[in-house]
Amino acid sequence: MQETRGGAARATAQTSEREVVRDAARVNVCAKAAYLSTIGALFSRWGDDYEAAYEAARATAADLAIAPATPVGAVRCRLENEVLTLGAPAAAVPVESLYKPWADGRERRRGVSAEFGAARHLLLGDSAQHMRALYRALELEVPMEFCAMPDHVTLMTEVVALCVDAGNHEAALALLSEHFDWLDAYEQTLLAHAAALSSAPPSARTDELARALAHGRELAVALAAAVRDLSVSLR
Amino acid sequence: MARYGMLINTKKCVGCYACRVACQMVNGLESDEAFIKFDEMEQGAYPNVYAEVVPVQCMHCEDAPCEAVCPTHATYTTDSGVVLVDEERCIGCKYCMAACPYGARIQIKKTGVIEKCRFCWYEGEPGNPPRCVGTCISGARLFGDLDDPQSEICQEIARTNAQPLAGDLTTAKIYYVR
Amino acid sequence: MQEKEALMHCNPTRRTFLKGTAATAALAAVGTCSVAAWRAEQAEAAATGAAKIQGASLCNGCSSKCGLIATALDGRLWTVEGMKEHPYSKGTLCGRGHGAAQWAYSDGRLTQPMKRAADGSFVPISWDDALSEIGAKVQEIIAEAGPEALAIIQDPRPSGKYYSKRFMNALGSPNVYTHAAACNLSKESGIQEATGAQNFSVDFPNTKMVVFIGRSYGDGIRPSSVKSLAGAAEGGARVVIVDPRLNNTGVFATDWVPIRPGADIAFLLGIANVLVTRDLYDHAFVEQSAVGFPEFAAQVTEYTPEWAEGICDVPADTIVEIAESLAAAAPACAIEPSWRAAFGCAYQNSFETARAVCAVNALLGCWGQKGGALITSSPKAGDVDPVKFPEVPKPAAKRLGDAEYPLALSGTGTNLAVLNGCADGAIQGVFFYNSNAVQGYAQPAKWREALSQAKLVVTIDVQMSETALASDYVLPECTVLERLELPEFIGGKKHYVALRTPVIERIHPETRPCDEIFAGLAEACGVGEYFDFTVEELAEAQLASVGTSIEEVREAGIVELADPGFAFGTPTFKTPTEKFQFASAKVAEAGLNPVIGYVPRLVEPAEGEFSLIGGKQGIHSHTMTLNLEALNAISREYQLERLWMAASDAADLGIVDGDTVELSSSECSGQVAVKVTERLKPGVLFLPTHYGGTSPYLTRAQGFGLNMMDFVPLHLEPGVGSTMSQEVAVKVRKVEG
Repeated sequence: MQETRGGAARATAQTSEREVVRDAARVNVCAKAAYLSTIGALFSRWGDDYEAAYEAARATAADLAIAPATPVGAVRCRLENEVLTLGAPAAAVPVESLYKPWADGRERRRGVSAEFGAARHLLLGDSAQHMRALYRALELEVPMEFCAMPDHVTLMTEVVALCVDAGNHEAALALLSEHFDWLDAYEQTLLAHAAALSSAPPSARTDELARALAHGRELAVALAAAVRDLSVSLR
Repeated sequence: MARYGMLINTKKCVGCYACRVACQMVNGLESDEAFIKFDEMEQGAYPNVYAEVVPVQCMHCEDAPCEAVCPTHATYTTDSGVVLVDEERCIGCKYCMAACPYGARIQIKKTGVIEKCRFCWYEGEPGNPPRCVGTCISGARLFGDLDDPQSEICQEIARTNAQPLAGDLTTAKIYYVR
Repeated sequence: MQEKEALMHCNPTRRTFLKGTAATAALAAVGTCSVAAWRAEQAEAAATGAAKIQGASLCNGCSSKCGLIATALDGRLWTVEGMKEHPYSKGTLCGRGHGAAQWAYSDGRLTQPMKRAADGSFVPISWDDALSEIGAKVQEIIAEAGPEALAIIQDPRPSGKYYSKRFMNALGSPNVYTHAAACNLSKESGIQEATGAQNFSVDFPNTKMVVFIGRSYGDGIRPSSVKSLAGAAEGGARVVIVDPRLNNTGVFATDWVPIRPGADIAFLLGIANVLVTRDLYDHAFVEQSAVGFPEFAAQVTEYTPEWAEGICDVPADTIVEIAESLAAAAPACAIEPSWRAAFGCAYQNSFETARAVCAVNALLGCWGQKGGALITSSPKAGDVDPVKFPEVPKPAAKRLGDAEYPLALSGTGTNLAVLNGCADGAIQGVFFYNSNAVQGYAQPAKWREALSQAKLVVTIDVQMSETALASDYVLPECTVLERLELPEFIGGKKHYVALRTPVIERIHPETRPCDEIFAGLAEACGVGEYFDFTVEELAEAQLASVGTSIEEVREAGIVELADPGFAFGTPTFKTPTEKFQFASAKVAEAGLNPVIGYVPRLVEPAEGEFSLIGGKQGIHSHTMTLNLEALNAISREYQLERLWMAASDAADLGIVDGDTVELSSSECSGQVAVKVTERLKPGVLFLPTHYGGTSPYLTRAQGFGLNMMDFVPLHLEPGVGSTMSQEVAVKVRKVEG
């Protein structure tokens, strides 16, 4: 702090500079969080409005080159109906519970451990319960279509972005590190489906589905990159 | 102090695998990890054949070879004769897997710890009864105190002259009726 | 200032999914973001008391519907265990019970209605659209061809059997079928023809000798049956297993009688011959309580043990010895009624085999006797308010298939009439509930062909089964632990009523219990007036009619009803003659021999061919459970999908245990690993009937092992219309390399 007027002006300028840098950093992190949530949103059902969703991703992408390109309608349709839908033949739904054990296998409550504590490929596992608790604490309501999937990437990326917007970087980091550590397994599932498809007799459908699975991997890669990028910026 | 043991009557086992599934549930095992394995054995030649299913699991031996070889003393026996594994101490060296003549030990994927049947030991005592015993649909299993002559298991062992699976290979505490 | 605004509104154009206004303050301060912290909190909360709900339900792992208690903590399904008081589970649950609990949260479940697109793929559709489209199609079919062109096939469950019948009848169609034609139709029709009852049970606590024809309690499990048999075996009863395979009940057996497949009837008639010709039969019973004995006795003289040996390949001496032992043990002995195995639906002679079983029991005089064959009664709901629950007028037309197969149980009909009906246009719309007909009931290729001719196929299921895949619309049901069903009445020496009650909340909002689905379908089809009540209301009314309530059954898990007053003694045979029928006019009317006698099997394997028999395994239920991970893992680890081959046959063919073989019949061929065993009669191959899934939606089941029905040509048994599931001859050869 300077006593002379010139000194005060310089100090103010320096403080302003620091503020600008800090604000810019904050805007940068906000933008990255926004981008993350638009990628997360691409894993949900858009129907005819899907192009707007990809545009939103591009609008918030720091580097346009990394944002996924908009696929053609037929491919996006296959992705939504046959990959992102539970129970579909090539189902690869980005829900955390499906890629982790349902509960801590040994955890006992009221003297009894869970019937399928260590089983996989089950919904509403511990990760889902944790997200539900978080939504409750934040008074957020899970839309009906996600009620069995509170740990779907679409919702989880949105909560991360909300935390970042509110300046709670600690919470955002915790979510990113604990709820997005299964994306490799998700990508493997997409790859496995693609491999299985390659032995099926070729048809218009298998061709579209193969492209849909490839596009799904593109999205998965973009998601993982966005998670890493934001995590680094938040630290 | 009790001395816990089990009786398995293979003349009642129909090989339904309910015990394996129930055990996996209560012990938090994944679908392809099991503490109980099954040996299907046929004796004789057609048409004079006897077929049996022999469930095998940790015998909770009194002179447990797995405990003897464990370099970190992760494997230990409670005062009541139940052989357990201290997860914190296990280094996953698998020495115990090699030492167990019954092949009863498996490595848990999630933790790397080498585990086995623990008679459903939680919160300081064994299951009452262990889940495999509780779910057996034909009543082929019994569990109880081998030192209590009035217990159902002692009486049944006496009545049927049940024997450990492999003679005196180890001082096993699971008795088989075959 | 502008920068600050930019801060506050970082992302104005982003679509939000989560609703509600998460206050910035809350977001800024939110604590439970770390999973570890949350877990610690949970553990603490659990210790002090997580919200616990315990509910009674009935397992859906198989048709035994064993009573179970499910516990949910904080809304999560935590455990399932057998209900002590339930007569079938008696406190235990088999492997399927535990595996089936995984369905609730399974990733393989259907979560919304699906409609088939032109290229065979399925797209989601809303309930409103699905129901209105189905309604329109149904009304179109009725307008063009009448309601008789509609049919429903279901494997009975407490709500399903009521609602499916009500729906179809309300539409004006009589075409309500169960799965029986592929299960126990021949057996129950035969037993009914002889005794007036569909089924009977063996009095295990008191029996001295029991003969099982094909049925294996250790493979087709009901926990209480296994316990009963274990008790009888321990009590010194002689247990004879007549089966080409030494099945998993073998541990309780004193004798294994390997028999030629489809020839059990010759074995039974050989026994009958011994009992009659050596005067070892119960004269009093035969004179006082039976009709047709003289004709039967005359006919049976040709069925000598030597004759029988020639057909069934069981030594004549064995047949004589067993007959004499049975006579000595009588009346505390019985031929066990079986379920599906051997003569539920397997051969051209299955119906007659069932009658022969009854005939032997009649000769032994064990009907109604201590240790013998018991006919017990079943309770049912009393009358309910006819205004609230209006009676549906009985459709005038006769059910399709009844005329051609008059001996089929009226309660079940033969569902293969639907298959044939679709092929020839008589049936244009088919509904399936809790049924995987395409995969399990008859030659799948024929089912698919037939269903593709139908104008409308609707399947209600929890997963995309092979039958769902062949449908136009697939409507998802919620799983058992999420729903209330109508009361299940349980008969026997004691009468009970039990209930499926919900223990967890609906997991997928777009799945519905079958009562809602059928009510919705009815509404869309214009007959909603017959469904103007909730399942709770009807359940309450039915329970009130027998002196209890939902509350009471929920509390107790199962409620014992009024003592039916069972007493040992010759039962009243509810036949047209009010006697045991050695000869039956109705069978004559169907163009078959009215007197219980020999009928051969249809297919005789030629030189170099094998008989193929199927059977169950304790961890699976038909084609329903193979995709459940815990159960699938057992099949894989122990290679349970293998084809069994007798050791001597394997030696002849140069095959060793574990080799891959190609199995082929006139219908298809496929490859599978072999289990070489001494437990099988040479000339016979055994294939467990749970494998060979073809639905790509059920990834763990698809392509795993072989599906027996793929190999069997389509035949319908004369008189009853059963699927003749084992009328096939197969070839097998080692696959090199």
